[in-house]
Amino acid sequence: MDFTNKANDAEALLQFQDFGMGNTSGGKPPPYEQTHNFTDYPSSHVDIDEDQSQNQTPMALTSQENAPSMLTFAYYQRYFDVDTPQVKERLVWSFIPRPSRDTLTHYIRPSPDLYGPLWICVTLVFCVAIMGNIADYLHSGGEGQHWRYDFRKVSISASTIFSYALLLPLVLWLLLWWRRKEGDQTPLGFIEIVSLYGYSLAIYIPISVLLTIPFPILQWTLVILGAALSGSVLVLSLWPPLSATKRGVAVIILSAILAFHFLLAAGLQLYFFRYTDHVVVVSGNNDGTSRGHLRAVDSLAFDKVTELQPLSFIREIEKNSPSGSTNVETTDPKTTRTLVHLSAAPLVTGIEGEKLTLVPERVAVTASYSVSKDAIGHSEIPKIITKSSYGDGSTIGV
Amino acid sequence: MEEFSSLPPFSSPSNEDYLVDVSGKMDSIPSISKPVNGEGKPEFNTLDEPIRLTIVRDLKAVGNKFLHVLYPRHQASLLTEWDLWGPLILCTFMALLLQGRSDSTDHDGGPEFAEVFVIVWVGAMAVTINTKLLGGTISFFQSVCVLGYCLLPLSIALGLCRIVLLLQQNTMFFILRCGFSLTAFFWAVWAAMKFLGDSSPPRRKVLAAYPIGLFYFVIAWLVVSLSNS
Repeated sequence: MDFTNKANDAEALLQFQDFGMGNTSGGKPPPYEQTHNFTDYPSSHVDIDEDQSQNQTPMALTSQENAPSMLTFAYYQRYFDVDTPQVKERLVWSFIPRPSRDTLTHYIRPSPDLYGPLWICVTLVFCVAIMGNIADYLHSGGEGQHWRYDFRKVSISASTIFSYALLLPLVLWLLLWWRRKEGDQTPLGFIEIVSLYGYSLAIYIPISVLLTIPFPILQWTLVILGAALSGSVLVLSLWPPLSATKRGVAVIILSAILAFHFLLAAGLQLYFFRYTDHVVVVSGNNDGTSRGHLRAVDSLAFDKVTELQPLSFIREIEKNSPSGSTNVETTDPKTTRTLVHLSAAPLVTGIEGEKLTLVPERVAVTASYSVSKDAIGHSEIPKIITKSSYGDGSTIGV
Repeated sequence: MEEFSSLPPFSSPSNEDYLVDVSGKMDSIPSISKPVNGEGKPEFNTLDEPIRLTIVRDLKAVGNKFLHVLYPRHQASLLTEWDLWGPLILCTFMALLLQGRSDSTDHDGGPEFAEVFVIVWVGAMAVTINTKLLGGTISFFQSVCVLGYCLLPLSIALGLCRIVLLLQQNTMFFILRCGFSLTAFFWAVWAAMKFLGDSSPPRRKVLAAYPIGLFYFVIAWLVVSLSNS
């Protein structure tokens, strides 16, 4: 990694030699034999010394101006040229909109960096995956032995977040490049847009931590708040370069940007933090535990664990007895009644149409849906169900 | 003749002498392989020495580095001679213990062997490149070596968690496993910062330290998430 620095040194030395020659005779060979030797000597000396490093990095030498090639280390070093206070400043102003001083021109454009975007994205990827797993754990009722973490969440969140942070700036940059006709002001660079977008994701890190709190209203408030704050920073920053030509198109583009920003937050919330059900069905015929990763259908009135247990129970009964309804009715009436207690209300909410045909008579017997939604309810239900299913030969637990 | 036997075979005059001498002087070889020259530095003659000695010497070096990680005093001790044997051992150990079982029909949820491997190596490389890009003054493999060796506390925590998981689980044991992982996480970050802290410019120390912390945090999370299958 050091050879690029050495090559740069060599370049600097060569430039210095050109200076000396220009000073004396403007590039022409000097008349005196001695001075000719003198000017020749150091350049050849440099060549011998730095021969190896020059051969290793031809790219660094071919680019004569200040900008190094994309394949060199120095090219990326420019985008990591930030100090701690600078990064802090950019982080803070990435989610506090100020109409007077937009983030892009005042904080990012002077020296766009890739340090922030890179590590913000990596942090967000793992934060979302870890917090999604913690949300699942909390939802499983704190029973450590039944909960298993899902490592695939890392790859899913990584592909989502990195494609968002790279593809959208690319599209935006192409749009700007395509709409740039006057060319009166310096166009927005790709790295600058990536930097702006990367920092705008920073607010989602604390939000993804807070999203583990299992209240849908709070979750949606946080999602909308985060998307609105950092989205407005994006809009305020991108308004001046976009609105240079046509205002109508700029409004459309900016609303699309806002929509995508909100979609990312909503997508993360829906995929990772919506409470899904991990119903473990222990059936008699195979002894191992298999874990159904069922998606919740509706979460309005009841907690989903209580909602889906009767469904899985009925499925299990159906599996064990092909003519399910008669078999259930021949079991002990007491246990049937306890089953009805649980299954009546959730099934009426309408999970699947065909299951409804199984139940109507038993619904008629029923009392009201009395299991509470909180954690006490969770621990009570498995007990009742395992008790009730003894007569049938299959056990169902959670 | 006793002294000449220690010389290379071409010094002996005939083939019979050579054969007899070698079979007779096996026990004198250890004294040959550790000559000490004038500077006091051991001069390894790795062509002549038995494989056992080579392995033992390398293992000693690896073990010495492990000790330095557990009790980091000297800042340069781990940096002078880097090797990747220790990181390889630790990484393989962790990947073996962390990998999910794939015998059940449903996916177990744990990371695959290769995923742990990729996280450790790509993570260490990304952290190193970040340090270099921020203007750090450390060579690439030195930094990867230090980051790999500093996985030792987390590997110990992983082993302890595996043992705890053999018992009947309850919330107490879960908290215990969290405690192991957290301690190991702080230990690893502390050791890594002790070795690598001085290599980055002072105004960017936080920027260089943050990815190191993130790297060990993710691995600590993998350790906590380890569960019975």
